[in-house]
Amino acid sequence: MVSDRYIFALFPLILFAICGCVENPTAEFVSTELSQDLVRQASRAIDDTIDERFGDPQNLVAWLKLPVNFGEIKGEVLDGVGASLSSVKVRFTETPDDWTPEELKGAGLQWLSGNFAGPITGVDKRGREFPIAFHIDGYKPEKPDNPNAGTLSIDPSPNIDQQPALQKGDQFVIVGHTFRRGRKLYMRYCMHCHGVSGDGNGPTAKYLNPRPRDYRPGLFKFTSTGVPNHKPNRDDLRRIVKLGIPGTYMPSFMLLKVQEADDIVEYVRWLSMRGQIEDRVANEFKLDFSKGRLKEDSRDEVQEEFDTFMAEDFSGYLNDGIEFVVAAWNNVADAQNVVNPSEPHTPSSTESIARGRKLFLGQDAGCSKCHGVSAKGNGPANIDFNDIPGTTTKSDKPGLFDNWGNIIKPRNLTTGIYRGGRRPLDLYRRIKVGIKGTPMPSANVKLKDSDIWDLVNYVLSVPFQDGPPDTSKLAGHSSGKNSVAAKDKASSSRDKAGG
Amino acid sequence: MNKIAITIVLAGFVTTLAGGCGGGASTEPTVTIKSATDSKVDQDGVPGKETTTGGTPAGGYGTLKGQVIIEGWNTKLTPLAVKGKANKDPTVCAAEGDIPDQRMVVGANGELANVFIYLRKMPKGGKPSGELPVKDFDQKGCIFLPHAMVYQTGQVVRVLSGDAVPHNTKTDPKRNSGENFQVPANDRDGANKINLASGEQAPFLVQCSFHSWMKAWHLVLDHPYGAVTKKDGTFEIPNLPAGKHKFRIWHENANDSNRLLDGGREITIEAGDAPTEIPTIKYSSALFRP
Repeated sequence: MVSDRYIFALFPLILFAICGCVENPTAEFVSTELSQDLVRQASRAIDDTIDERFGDPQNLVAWLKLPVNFGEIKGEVLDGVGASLSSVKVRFTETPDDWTPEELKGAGLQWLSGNFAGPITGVDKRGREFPIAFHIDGYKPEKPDNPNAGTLSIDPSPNIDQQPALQKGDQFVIVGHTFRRGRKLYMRYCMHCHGVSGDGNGPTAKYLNPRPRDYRPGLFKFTSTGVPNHKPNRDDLRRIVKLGIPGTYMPSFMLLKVQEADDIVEYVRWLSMRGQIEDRVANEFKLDFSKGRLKEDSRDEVQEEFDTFMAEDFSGYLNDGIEFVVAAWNNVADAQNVVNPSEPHTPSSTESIARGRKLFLGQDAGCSKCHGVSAKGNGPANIDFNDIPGTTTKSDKPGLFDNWGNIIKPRNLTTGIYRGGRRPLDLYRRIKVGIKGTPMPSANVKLKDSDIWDLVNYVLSVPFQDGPPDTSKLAGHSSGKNSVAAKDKASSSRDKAGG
Repeated sequence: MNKIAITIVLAGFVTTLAGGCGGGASTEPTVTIKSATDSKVDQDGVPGKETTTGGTPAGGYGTLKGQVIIEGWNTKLTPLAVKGKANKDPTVCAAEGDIPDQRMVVGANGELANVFIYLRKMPKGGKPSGELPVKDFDQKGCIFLPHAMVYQTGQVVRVLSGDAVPHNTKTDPKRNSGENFQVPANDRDGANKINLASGEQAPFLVQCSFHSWMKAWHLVLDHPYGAVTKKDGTFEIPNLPAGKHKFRIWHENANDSNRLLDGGREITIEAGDAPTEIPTIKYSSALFRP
């Protein structure tokens, strides 16, 4: 009996030993869903284009075109003529604040001067040329108290028989040590929900509502930025990582070090740029090279047209797409694109709240159309059964869709949970520029900032109200045609929102 | 004994979970540097925007005229809202008549409206438009007017409203940034404008979230060669350089990525004042979603 129990007890361990991490899959970037409907040539072209510029999770490509901080360390060679690449004495001339010698392993290296500067090609066994990319194999500081001088081991120690290979004073830059850190941290903390590719489809994602953000469309809801692109700036993303998103499964990662959060932010920005460019490229093929083509035209015809498209048009479209994405992310780095009110927050008062409430219910702001007259997120816009995006099939659930194809509920403002932050400024921005990727539009341009502050004050007061504020004594407040306001007047009300 | 067994079982699980399988977190990635200049693209230039505008082409210019007909379409689409019975803002929406389902606008003899016919890119010898007039995109009775429209990059489109309720305009283009702004009630001045920088491959959806039945289709091109069929199914594209052109034909309710003709319909344009009239383009109802 006893031995039976032991076997039973050992079972999971045995199972683990057999299946365990032997099957640990290599992380891969998943191709966009759009490419599934395309002819083979097209989906291959998309994958090749993206792989060349972004690599895979094991072999990342730091493409310097992108506005991403991959992490840079500059240095120079101390050795004399003819030093071997497997053991190079160097001195770092420009280093970031926070780095350790160990984390250089795997980072890329580019020569800025000397024999290896510029594109270097090697020749493989079949005599074909291939570009040589240098990586750091290891770094050993000479003295523990001075990490800036030591011995660098560079991979490959190439079969470039140039003598002398290196010279004293050759400049180099090591790129990607923070990028690697970001990747590793992302895989540890973020991947389970957001997925390896940032497609919001990690192993846990299907159990979550709301779904984790899919970064690939380049849409982020809670930004401090406005038109034209609404891309989040680094502060916005840092804030989300640090504070989490209340009311969702996004937890706060307050315990991460500042540098760690920054590394994750850079990696997420990079994943988003990757996704956007992939999406953009896939869309260029969508109309002409869908699988449906093969039902109507012969393979040869499609192939011929595809070859023409690739030769004549593709690189232009790709270039446009890349420039578009890069410009959009560069744009938000500019502090001018942060949305700030032109006048300070109106202190909350019964009057301000009453004005805000009138706007909320009225036709100028139109908030109640979606959020409902009671601000419970149950306005009339939610009652229709709409077409599932991209189809003419009605959804079996009523409600509006977001850009990711999920039904989205307008926020229930009585809960006092504000996903994008609870500071008045956060609410001001949500109202002023809307929420990207959702039906929440930017505010009526005829509303003044003071009107928006009144709305903010009203929204912040909603969770604390038993009923609407007593507005009967306020001058100039007419119920007019607004039946709801008229009804509310009759009801007894208290305003607890004051402080 | 039982307790010990359970403890060991649990320990086994905990070890598995805690040790985890890493999800790749533990693997050491390498980084390869790729320089900012994309040599391939730079050498090839930007062929997508072919604007060879070197004077009149040898063959001169001509106009294309045609008509699109759908055969065997008998479906009568139910209105999205019946007069006076809209489930939102009934004093404004559908106040003066039904809100029709404009997914298919078919005439008595099968004339199909709202079909987009356009060139994928500026043709060789194509004439860019001069100054582009401001276009209006209106809404009345909670219906977008028009339902389908073509304009050009840099052309200003004023978004108007003749309704006493607020609307919002949410666009979903692929090569431009999408927008979502609120349209003030009865805005006849166009406080909001659409002005797009890149030509699109295909029409994109424009919606109002407040009244989710409101849908329209916009196509922005970086050249002047595009048209939408009118109620009688006809269309006209002027100033085409003489010669062969491949046209894209697109309809919102067509199966298979909304295309009606793969790779485009090749049409030869004759130069001169008399327009090149092509035989009626006929489509079977089977090509459309029911």
